[in-house]
Amino acid sequence: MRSSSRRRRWLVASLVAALPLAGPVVAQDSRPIEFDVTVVQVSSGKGGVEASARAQRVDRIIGQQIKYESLKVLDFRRRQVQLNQIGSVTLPGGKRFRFRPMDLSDEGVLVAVDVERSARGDFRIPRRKPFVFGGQRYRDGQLVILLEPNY
Amino acid sequence: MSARDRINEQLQAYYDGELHGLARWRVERRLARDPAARQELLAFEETGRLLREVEGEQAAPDLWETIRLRLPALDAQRAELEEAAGLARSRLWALSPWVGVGVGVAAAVLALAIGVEWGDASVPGSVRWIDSGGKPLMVLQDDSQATIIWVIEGETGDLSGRSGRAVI
Repeated sequence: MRSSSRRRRWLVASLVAALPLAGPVVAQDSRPIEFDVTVVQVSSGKGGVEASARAQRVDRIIGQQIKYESLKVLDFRRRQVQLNQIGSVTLPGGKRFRFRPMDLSDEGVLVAVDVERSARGDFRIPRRKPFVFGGQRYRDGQLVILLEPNY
Repeated sequence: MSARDRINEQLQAYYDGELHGLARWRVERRLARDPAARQELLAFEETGRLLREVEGEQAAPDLWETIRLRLPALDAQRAELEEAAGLARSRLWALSPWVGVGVGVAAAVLALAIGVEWGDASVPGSVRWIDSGGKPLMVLQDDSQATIIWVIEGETGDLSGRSGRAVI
């Protein structure tokens, strides 16, 4: 009985793992698209902007629109994701940031973005133009996620 | 990074088909004996299903013209001035720091009221579709430099933009 149950669990796990392969894949271009994902925390607490070049760059991008007292980079990931495949980064706190490039054109890459238990949407992101998604509460501040396609 | 984070990352890589050989075998072995891991994998699948549903939806009609009519007069005047000046730039909206926050808040409220679908997919950087699950959100910037989306969770600071910036 136990063996049968185990086989069934294996079958379910295998089927679940195989589902993406059975999805409606549109092979526009098989080359993966490179995405940089930067996760920072901003807060109203003292601390200033972290000295790293990456933090300074993020500050230049969002500092004109968001007022904060401190900014620090929590994570940086580079993902190679093909069209209609899903890239993912686990955010500090355990939520997942997932994105799926759906179309590539001269205007940029159309990406479906999903921030677990926060928001999701579709956005057309031009080459090397940061897409910034923020506001999720994290400790004494908020998370800010930068998604940048490099193709 | 905790052990659970590492496991989740491995599961994510497994789900995305990035693992091969020994690494893939190790994850499958964990899946066989760890109910939490299997649950996590099912959660990945659920999110993937939602994303596929999004992909399967018909392209949203261009609601921008409808929305613009309902935005504050200030923004409408600005749009008219731009059109009169022959500035046929296809931006979601033009944002000075002051106008940006105001328009963003107005758009957020409007978006919540109409179910949040807007934008022209042919415009670089344009927001095509957003669902914040009922939470207020602002598009603080959408121009050639960056697109900044801000979801307002729980209590917030001063979002009136006295300094021209949203205060967290």
